Amino acid sequence: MISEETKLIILDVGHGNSSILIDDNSSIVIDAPLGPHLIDALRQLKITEIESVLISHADADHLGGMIGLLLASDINIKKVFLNPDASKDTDIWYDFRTAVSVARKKYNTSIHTELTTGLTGNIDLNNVRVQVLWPTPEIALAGAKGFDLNNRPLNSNAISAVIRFLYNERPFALLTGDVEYVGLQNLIEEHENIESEILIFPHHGGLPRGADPTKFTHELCSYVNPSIIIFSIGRGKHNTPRQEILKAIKEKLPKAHIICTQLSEHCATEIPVDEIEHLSNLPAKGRSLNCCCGGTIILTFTESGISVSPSPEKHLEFITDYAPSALCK
Amino acid sequence: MVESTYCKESKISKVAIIDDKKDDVETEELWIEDAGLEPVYLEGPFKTLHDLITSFSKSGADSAICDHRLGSYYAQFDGAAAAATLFKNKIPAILVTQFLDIDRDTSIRRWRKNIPALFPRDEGNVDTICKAFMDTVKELSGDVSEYRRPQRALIRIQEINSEGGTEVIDALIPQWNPKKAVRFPIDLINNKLYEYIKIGTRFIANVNTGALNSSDLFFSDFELAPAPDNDI
Repeated sequence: MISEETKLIILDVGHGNSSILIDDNSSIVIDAPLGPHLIDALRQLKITEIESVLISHADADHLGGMIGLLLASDINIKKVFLNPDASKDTDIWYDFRTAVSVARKKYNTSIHTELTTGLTGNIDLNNVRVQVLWPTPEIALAGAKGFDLNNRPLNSNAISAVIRFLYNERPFALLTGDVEYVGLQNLIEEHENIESEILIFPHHGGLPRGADPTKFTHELCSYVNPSIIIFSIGRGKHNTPRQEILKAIKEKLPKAHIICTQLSEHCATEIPVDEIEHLSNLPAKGRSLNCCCGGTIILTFTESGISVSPSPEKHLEFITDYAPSALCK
Repeated sequence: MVESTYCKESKISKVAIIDDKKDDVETEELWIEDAGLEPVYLEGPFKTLHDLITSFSKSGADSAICDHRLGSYYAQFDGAAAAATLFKNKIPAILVTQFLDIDRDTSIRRWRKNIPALFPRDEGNVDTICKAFMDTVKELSGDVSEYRRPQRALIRIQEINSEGGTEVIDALIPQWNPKKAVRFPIDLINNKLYEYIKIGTRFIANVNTGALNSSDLFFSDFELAPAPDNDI
């Protein structure tokens, strides 16, 4: 297949999330937004079989691309895990269910209508342990229109699955989907330790519902204590990442390396004229408009640690030249 | 004469012109000559596409530029059909038209799968035609751009209409853009599936979901999507 190294690829899909974990010739996909970039990346990586696809929640920017992935005849998905969301009585949810039906019957894809803490230990790869830190089964049972056990209202984002990967028992990546305040409170109450070296920031760095963004960010950073923070954003979409969130991160974790997939309009009002050279060769939505910042980010794990591509040095060079008001500096 | 890099790289040298209007033919000849290529006009009339292929073969050309709306005294088919047929015969063929906005969803869409490059006549110049030939040559060599790669896609019928005498479907392709309907002629769907065509029906087809604009979308190989079971 593709690689014997362990890698986590954070795809530039614009406003949305999509990641590919590769370990020892096996792979897991987390979230599949609309657009061809995930499928193109899988094909470029020559991935013809996916062990598991984990869908954090049913918003189109995390799920919409599953339709194409489930219908693709050249990529076999063994299992899909997600929590049904009865609030999503929409055409696209029906479209997704149609694609599920095709994949199940035609390609023997196994569909699991549960992505909760109960799955921890059941979807591991060879060298990578996969923990589902959130939601708990009792929260998933409440659904997106329900309440948690402290009577706090839930919604699709609140029950967004939070996944942590451990390599050689070392927590290296926390993927938070769109989890917001109520989700974070429950996460902290449920687990003693949610630390991780890499944090994919929730909700693309947008406002967390029900919370002051500064307090939310401070709390998240305290508990996760990452050294690398990644924002998966679309330039010009929804004002992300929020400036107050970046400010809060720098207050709490001044040494953390912060990188966005695309170049936020807050960091540079103009798109670079020159071709951006530091990008990986994997598909990146921002490439055609030359608005990548980190682009598709590749994290490679070895015994000695994590290497990031583009490297912090190359990233700094780029933002020095093209984003003098970069929020991450 | 402007020597375009694209024209050099595409390695074409002699371009057949398929067009029934003298003024347009003269313009096309100028574009071609300015690009350092040799134009050759294909005299009609052409009753069938086979006649066109025969004429092309005799012309010594290695590529073609086709106008879309061809008068019936010149050809019994339109330029999109001509360009697509030439392409299917491994000949780099591009399409030019002043009716792009009017015909793109019907008579052009019908053939769009085999037309990698087309442009509106008012954007025609040396660079445009050379880029178009380059894109076509690349696709013929197997280097299909991300905007043209077909994927299995779900198509949700929103309306059934008529446009210029052609029965058309207005549909959403969620994988491309769940908020922007696209129109295509009904005859792209196998007539064995016609009984299922109604508002709300979902089909699965090959669609180049990486296309940036709806005018570039093409559709083929339709099948009826099964209704989902009540398991999710």
